[in-house]
Amino acid sequence: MSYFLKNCCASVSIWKYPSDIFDQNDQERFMRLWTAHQPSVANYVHALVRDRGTAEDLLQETALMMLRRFTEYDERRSFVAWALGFARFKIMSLRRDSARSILVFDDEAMEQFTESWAEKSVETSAQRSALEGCIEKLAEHARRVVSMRYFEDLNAEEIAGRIGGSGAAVRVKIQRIRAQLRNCIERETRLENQRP
Amino acid sequence: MKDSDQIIDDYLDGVLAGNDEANLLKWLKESDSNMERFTEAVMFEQNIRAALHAKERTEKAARVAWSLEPLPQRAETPSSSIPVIPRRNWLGRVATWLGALALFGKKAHAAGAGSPAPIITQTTATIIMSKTTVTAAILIVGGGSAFFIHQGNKDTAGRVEQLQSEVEALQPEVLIEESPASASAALTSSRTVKATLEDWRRLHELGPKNNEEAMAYMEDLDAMDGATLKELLLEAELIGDLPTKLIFDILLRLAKKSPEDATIIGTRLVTNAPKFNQKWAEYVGKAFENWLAEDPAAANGWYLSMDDPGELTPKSIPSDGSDRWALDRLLAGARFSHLLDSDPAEAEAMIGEMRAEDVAIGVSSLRDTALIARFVRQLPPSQQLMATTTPVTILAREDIDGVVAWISSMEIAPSARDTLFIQAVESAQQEAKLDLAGVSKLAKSLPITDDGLPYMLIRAVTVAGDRAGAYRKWSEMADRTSWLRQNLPPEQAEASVGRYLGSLTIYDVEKGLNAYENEVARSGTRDPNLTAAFAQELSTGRNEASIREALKLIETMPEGAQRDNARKVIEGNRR
Repeated sequence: MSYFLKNCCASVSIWKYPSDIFDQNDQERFMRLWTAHQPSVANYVHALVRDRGTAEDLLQETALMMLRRFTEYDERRSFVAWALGFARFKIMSLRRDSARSILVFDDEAMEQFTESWAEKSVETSAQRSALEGCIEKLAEHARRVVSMRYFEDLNAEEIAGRIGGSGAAVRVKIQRIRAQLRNCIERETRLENQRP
Repeated sequence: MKDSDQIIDDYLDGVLAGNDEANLLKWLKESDSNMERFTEAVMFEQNIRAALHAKERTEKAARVAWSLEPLPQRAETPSSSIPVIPRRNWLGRVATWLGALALFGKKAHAAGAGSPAPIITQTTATIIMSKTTVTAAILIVGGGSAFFIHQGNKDTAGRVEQLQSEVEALQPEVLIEESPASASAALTSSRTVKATLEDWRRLHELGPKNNEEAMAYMEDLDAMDGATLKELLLEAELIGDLPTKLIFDILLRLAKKSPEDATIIGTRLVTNAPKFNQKWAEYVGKAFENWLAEDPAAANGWYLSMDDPGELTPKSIPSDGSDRWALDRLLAGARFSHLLDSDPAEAEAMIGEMRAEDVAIGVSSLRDTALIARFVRQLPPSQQLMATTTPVTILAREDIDGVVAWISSMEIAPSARDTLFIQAVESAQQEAKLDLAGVSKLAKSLPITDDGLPYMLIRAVTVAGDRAGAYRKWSEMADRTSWLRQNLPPEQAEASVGRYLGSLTIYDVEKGLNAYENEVARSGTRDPNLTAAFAQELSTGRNEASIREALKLIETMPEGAQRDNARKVIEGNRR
């Protein structure tokens, strides 16, 4: 938090009207928007920042930065796109620290990726709601692997250590599970669209 | 070189190495569709992760946070090694607890093992309070959002209240204490007032040393009563050269606690300032609104006692649209809105001295159709829409026929009337008060212009059905386009169908293109009106790939002016 304050809030433009952020109506409006769109922004940050702790800090810093700049938010614009702009800015500052970041992007690619994410995040809300059901439908063994990979954040070698086999075999297994889930989502979405 | 699928999979598995990283970057830059494919894959991966975490959170929340079991009281006395953290803000405290529950739920559960319901430990609460600010605590895992949302929800409001009183009861244990002396009590002499202001000047000019200092300043201000804030603002007026943001911070709070003082002193400050300050003016306007609500006779008396409210606006006001915040306009607007409710005749008498847009804003808050009509007819056409859109939207939810009759009777510009019809129909549809058959019947008797009718029907067919996914009823496209053709004159039908399908590409380009091709297959011909309208919509505000697709489509049109015009429009949409 102190990093953020030193680098952000003491600057003249942010500190100019700090009390703006404490206007209760604005804060509540921000909270509602943030609650609705936080998953997209969080996923974006986690997709680009390897270390979970760093990603969480960065997400909080992004939220705080947005709150402080909320009076500048133009409601005609997409909130997700606006939020991703802040997150991108914060992630870019990690660029030099490759241990903490998964970045392989230069500025141009990063901008394209962010833009693409903002567009896709509108389309994938149905996907998100269908995913939980699709995970439930996986075979017990596959569900365990998914949980180890995505909930416990174990890598392929660590998973192999628990269930046996090699890291490479686990990677192939995970790729197959991903494909299975993708097919399930497509099926569910198709059914949803066909529903009267 | 590995294929792109393998590279993406390696990226997702965190095993991308050597040249593969450069190859991925190169491949991504090759086309927009590569980037889209990559984004989809990464997003999918994150969605799996989020779904698993959400499931766990939901289960945990069901187990812990919203348990109906009462939280047990702790008998132990707090350890003296934990520092006392003064906090005044209950919202922050409760949000902190909620955030802490979300963050440390597992630890809290462990600490409460054996109890009827798990509780969060005092250490956990202290850690989170000392590690973060109230604002940050509110933000943690949406703790504050949970507070707002659950407080506003009638099903859970009771539990929030319960939690709040439990937090209150546990106050000594979690070491959240009120400050022993209130900030206002500290300000006992003018020297102290001056010293406080000078301290704050330094804080503003040099910036806060740390987060705690910034928060302490805010909390001191929040704790002050109206009389203390008034004293500070009067002293600030005398000192004259304090930072503008400091004056604002005091004014903002005084506007709520003593609106009369904030209006009177604030008006002097705004008027005498060497440079126009929009924020000050805005909050003086809000203070006056509050004062009118609190004591209308006194507030009106003060307003009328001014010789010329126009003099309130400093000459230094910039000509960049800032005059919207000119104090004379803000005060007149506040009074006008107040009088619309209490004394419409007096409000009408103000129209001559007000800007039309300020009148329109005030009128838009009315719901009495006769009263709205009385004011709208006195507005220029450019402001009639602003004054009527909101009331039409709200009233149409209850009585579409009445609203349609009212719009028809209004003395307004035809284009404004069309817009209101479209708005009214959409509003009634969204409340399920009108279906497509109803729109069809209504359209036949509506005095809407020939230009307005297609827009109304396209909008109607777009929002038809239940709200969730209404825009993407891909399986109903054929029915919907047939409906449009049945309800429009033949010369408008194809272009309208094209516009409708094209507008849906914002949700899914591929499905939109398929819907267009289905239309072509159904009619057995590639109608140029359909194609031109579809392609133009497809290109509106979309990415380069969509624009290229749109240009490709119009190549199927016969050569001539129509195709040239469509190309020009599409090229114009290129960012």
